[in-house]
Amino acid sequence: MFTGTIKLLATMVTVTMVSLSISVWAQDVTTDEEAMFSSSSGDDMLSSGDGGLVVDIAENLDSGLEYMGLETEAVRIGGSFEFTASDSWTSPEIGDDRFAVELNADLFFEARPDTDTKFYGSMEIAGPLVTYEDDETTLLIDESRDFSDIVKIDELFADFNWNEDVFFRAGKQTVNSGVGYFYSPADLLSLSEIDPEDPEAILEGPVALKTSIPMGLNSFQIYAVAGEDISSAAGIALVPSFEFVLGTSEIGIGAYYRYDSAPRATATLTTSILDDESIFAEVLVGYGTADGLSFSDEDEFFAQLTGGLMYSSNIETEDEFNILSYTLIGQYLFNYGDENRDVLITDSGDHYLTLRGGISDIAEADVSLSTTWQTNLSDGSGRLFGNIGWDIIDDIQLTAGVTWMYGETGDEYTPNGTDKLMGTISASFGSGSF
Amino acid sequence: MTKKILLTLLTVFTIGGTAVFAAGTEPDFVEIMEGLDMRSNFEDIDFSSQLTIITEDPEDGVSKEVTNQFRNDNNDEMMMITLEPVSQKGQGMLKVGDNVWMYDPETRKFTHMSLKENYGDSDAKMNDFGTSSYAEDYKVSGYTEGKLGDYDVWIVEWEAVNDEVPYPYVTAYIDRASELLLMTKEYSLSKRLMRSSYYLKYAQINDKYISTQMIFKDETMENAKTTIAISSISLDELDDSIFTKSYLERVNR
Repeated sequence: MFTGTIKLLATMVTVTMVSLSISVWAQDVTTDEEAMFSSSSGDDMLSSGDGGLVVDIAENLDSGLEYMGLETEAVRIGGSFEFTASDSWTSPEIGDDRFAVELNADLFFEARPDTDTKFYGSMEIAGPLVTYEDDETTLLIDESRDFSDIVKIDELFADFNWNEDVFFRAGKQTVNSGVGYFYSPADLLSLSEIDPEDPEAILEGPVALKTSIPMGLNSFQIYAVAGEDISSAAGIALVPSFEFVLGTSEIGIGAYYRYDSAPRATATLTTSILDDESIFAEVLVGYGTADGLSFSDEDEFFAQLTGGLMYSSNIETEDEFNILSYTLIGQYLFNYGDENRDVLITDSGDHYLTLRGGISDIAEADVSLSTTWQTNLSDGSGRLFGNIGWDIIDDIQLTAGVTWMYGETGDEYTPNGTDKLMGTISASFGSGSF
Repeated sequence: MTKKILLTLLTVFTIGGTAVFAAGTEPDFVEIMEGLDMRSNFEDIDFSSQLTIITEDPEDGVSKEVTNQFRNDNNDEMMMITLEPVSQKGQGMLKVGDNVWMYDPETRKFTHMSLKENYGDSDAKMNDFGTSSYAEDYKVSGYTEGKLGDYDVWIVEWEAVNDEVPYPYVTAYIDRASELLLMTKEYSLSKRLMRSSYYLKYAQINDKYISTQMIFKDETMENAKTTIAISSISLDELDDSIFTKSYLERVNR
């Protein structure tokens, strides 16, 4: 009996000790974390110990943030700077070899004299210092270059509103009404098209008066666009659109009307099903010819449909402190109807597909890789281009790229039937924004 | 004599055991999580503050961002507008419900985003700002009692009940006295530690609490962390027009 009691006590003590050990193990936190929540840390800014965890500020609330972003005392000036040297060559050699040292800057100003008014302008200054092309060297001081070769106005507009209900933007402005990544037929306003090699580049916008009426998250806007070929008020194009939110999807519908052009209607959709990906789609339908002429013998319905998906994620590598980030983007485009597609994205095909894969943060180094494949599924031709970028240090970046264009004679990407290989290597020094 | 010692030991263990048992009476963690959510939600009043975000990255060095935050929790709306660095002044982020938009002033394009994504280049997630919804997003799978610095804490294991949260597993360290969150350890699906979050100071406004000093440590990269300090807290009424894409476009350059 007595021996049994001792055994029982010994068991209880053992169980208690083991429990305490497990408990201590479970509560284990690093010394730094202990210090953060300890009054003995001596660092009031980075600990909750000193001064307590909670401070009652009910009687000491701020009177509100003065800066709401709509009025500034001074004119703001900013921009970006880029200095690059690049060398590019083509095989088989057809005189496309080029070496250039280029100096570019974007400058902008922004003035907000009151909360209802904003004036904004931005311009691009491009100055190739030295260009060696087709056996000819061009120097910085080239008298054949005029003002428009050096300075280009990107945007110049004024913002104003009526009773904070109706908002206006008047002037030359960048407009991005589409949602597509490589193809955007619903972008009825941009004057340039998306370059698949640089799909995130800024697209030139028109001279227009934009009138916008926000309704919570939804909004209605109409653009009155003065095209470059306008000769009378009757040549102004009207481009209304309405965007609304449905759950976690955003839907847009729009139209384009100009008296001597093919009328067009558009619809856009952005949504996400699994949260990690972004799905986008656009539809454009029109009547006339897609080169802008209408009411001719050749009038017919034409349409473009496109849909795509963007997915970004990480891969855990063997090194537990390293993560590889990747992005996959794919987009399909279908052309229907009009055979004369001069103003459309490409010339001849009914079906197009572009796929892109990009990797960044490789081995914690500032190295990024991307590969893009663009193909005209109708004739089988296409181009494949790969790019590698390396931030050697903060202010020096090295980029190398190779493009292969393939197909048969008469195909879109190889009209003369010869496959082409092009290479570019460039270095950027001191580029940045301010 | 021996019998007395044994009796004393038994008594001590019995009392100790009872005390442990009493202390171990399971707290209502659902209620505590609901309390965390309720106290971070400014329901019927507007909320604005200024955030100073210091991001330390082993590759990119140290960067500082100052951002104004505007919240209307009643409608689940939030607007963030950058003041510094000057080159990004006016850029911002609008969150309404589960919809998040960023606006690029150069391409004039809105980007529709997910709440799971990081805020800018920082280690903070989009849903680290604004109200919490722990009770809705997680269930409790276990707990222990412990100590974190000066604080007696509950160390609670949370498992996500939906895929709307950035981390499926979380170990939460909750101060037992105030029932405020002090620290979280956030894990991936494979139970790998991805991030540690520290809530060092809280401001109390009546029955509401907001963390005014936070550190988010990226556990996948050595020496990568983001420190956020909140100041200039105001409950002044905000205009509804602030929480629109149109406003985000207007304040941008």
